[in-house]
Amino acid sequence: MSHVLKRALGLDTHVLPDFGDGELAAGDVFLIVCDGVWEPLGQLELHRLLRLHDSSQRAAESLVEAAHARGGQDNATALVARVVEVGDTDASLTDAGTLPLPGRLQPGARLDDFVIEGELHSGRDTLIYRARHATSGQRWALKTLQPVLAGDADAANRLLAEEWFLKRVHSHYFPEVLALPGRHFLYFAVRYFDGASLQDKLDAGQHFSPVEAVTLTIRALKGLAALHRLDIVHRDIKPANLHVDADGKLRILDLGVARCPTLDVREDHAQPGTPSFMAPELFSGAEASVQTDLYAVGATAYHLLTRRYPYGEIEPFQHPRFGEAVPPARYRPDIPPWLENVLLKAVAREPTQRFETAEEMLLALERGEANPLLRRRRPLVERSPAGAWPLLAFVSLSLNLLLLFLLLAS
Amino acid sequence: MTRDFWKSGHTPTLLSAFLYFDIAFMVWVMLGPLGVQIAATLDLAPAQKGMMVATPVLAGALLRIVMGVLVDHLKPKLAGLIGQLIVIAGLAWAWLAGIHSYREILILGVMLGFAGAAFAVALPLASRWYPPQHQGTALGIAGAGNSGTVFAAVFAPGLAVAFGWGNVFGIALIPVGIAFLVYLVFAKDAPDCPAPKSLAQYLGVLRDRDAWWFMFFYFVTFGGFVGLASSLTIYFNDQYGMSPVHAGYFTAACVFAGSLVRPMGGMLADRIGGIRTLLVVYSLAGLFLVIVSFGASSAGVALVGFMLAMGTLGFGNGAVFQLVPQRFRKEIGVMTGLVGMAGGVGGFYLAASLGYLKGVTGDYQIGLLIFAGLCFVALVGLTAVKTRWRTTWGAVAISGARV
Repeated sequence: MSHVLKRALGLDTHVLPDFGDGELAAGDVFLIVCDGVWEPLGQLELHRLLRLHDSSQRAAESLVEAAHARGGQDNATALVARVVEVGDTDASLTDAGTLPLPGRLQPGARLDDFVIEGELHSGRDTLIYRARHATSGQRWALKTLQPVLAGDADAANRLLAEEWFLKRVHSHYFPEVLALPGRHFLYFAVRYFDGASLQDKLDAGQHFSPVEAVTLTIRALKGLAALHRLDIVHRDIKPANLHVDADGKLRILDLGVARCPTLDVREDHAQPGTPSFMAPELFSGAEASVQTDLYAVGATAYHLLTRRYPYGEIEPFQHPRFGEAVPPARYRPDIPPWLENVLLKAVAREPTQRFETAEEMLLALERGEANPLLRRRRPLVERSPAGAWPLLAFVSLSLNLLLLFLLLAS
Repeated sequence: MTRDFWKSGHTPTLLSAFLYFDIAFMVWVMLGPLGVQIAATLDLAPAQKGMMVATPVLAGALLRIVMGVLVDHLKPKLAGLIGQLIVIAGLAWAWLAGIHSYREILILGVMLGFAGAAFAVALPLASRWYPPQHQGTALGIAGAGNSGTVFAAVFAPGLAVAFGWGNVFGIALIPVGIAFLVYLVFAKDAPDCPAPKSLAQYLGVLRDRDAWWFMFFYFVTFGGFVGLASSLTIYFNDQYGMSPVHAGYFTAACVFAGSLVRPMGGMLADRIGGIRTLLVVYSLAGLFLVIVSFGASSAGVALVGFMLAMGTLGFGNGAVFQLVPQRFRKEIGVMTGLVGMAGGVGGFYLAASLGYLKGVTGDYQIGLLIFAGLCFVALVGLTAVKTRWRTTWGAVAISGARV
């Protein structure tokens, strides 16, 4: 039985991967080989050849040569990854929570290595400054907390978590984070880009054509896919958090309420987010997931095109009842039917009806007309069960009364 | 109200708190329905009539904060006993010694203000027994004592005609005494009590612009409700020459409409959003007040107009209190105290201004028009709040994250 395949893709209905967990150290070597290599060589020979060569490329080549030399008839492929250096642990993250806040700074003030140029944004919890690095002259956006939140450990943790998420995601759809090992205050630096968020453009009156909206949505989805691959949910996708710089590059901002479900314990607070862009199940207490993020993307695209929301504007502290989404073509007749179907699928009320992953929605947008989605018209009974039966009963009753009247009249 | 709601708290405390609150509200607005007869005996000018019915409202509003502090530092039950004893003393003094001057009726008004502050005692007393998920229901039941105002309007004028208004204070001692005894025997303090709130916390909340706007919103809705509840008997008597008893019934109808729709306002705010509800409320209330201010030809039309106005204002009360606990989740105790106080001050303003302007101009129109103007100011504030609220809400507490 030693040469029978017991595990392979397609053999079972589900893929069951094995996984392990551990700490990396410099000098660790990871090897992936196919059976064309490990079968003729065996464990001892593999270890010997790996130790023999310092260069990973030489080690991989020698493994394949040795496999062929031993008479292996099968395809032989070897992948060698050697850990050269391990990054310093973010132990600074846990200490950083005790740092003081910089407070309100005037233009020209100095904050560690930065010179403040001005204030970019002052929200309810956060404060963002535009600053210039004193030595390199590059412009960075410094994000910190409002002075009123001094001493709030939760808010400090949120800020540091945002920095940590931005450090993890290596995608050019997210702004770069600067490593600040020797900072004396509680803030972090992201690369500053000129330009405007999509909400600013909407407020300025810009009109987005369907092509432009699709292009922007595709870019946003690529960035979001990178985030979801790391098991991080953004939770606050909306036009105000999508920034387009002077070169036309789109970036996703503000991971302030992002969450990694496997890391964090479930909280009992109300779901964070912007109400009009929150998926229906979030109002019933469900956890934020990939589907809720994709709903937000769909609602954002919808808003870009029509300046409205699929289920109407939702206020904070409201528990709305979600009916049928308004087809966007009603507001913008120039939206092609395939795009309308994609948008409506993205903002479907049931999470199972939406796209499963960002890549799926990306594919649907890229294929566009060539491979359109079909939209099934749902019958009244399915759409609003509460409405169908009373209607039927009313019609039936009216008919009965009419017949009764006719009977008595004659 | 499921079975496990009744099992989760202390029902005798809840019911005795409700009874205390109901009777206290009845006594608090008592001077309004009796106003016509008292004014006739003491020969009061319109401005003095307005002041007479407005004083208990203002005293109640300010004493709410005082009683709130007392509840925090003493136990709620003890604070409630003190408040009730003061009210009993005031009523007993008014009945036995008699009220013979304008100054004395004002003093009685201040003592009746302690009854109005029952809000700050009855609600914490009951709600502290219940876990967070049942807080809303517990507060709803205890707070239904708003309806006490209806009893005052229905019974007080008739009893005054039969026994003389001086003796009504003595008659009122009966329900107050019963409520006091029930409270003494059955009400119990919850085992755990939260830490007392400091002055700094009160001032800290005031730094938020939303806090001030919500105080203003409740100033208009609850102020309108209570101010009209206190003033309508005098209004109907003045404008249409109705007997105090009939005027009392008409007032009771309006107040009933206003208190009944309060939970509906909360439910509608929940469904379509509090700001949208309040936009409708203030527009309609302002409109109805303007219409009513021109003086209807008959009392019946005026009744309909005032019922509509009080109904919309009662709706607004429910909507404001759907938003306040959610918006100010962390400082809810402080905010309910401040917002409640603002409401009482609004009631004082309306009642006093109606009387004063009637004395100066000879008509109620200006007073009602100014209040309708305040409704429209509230509309402006609402749009500002709506714009400020178009942002990200909620917080993430990362506890136990392995970073």
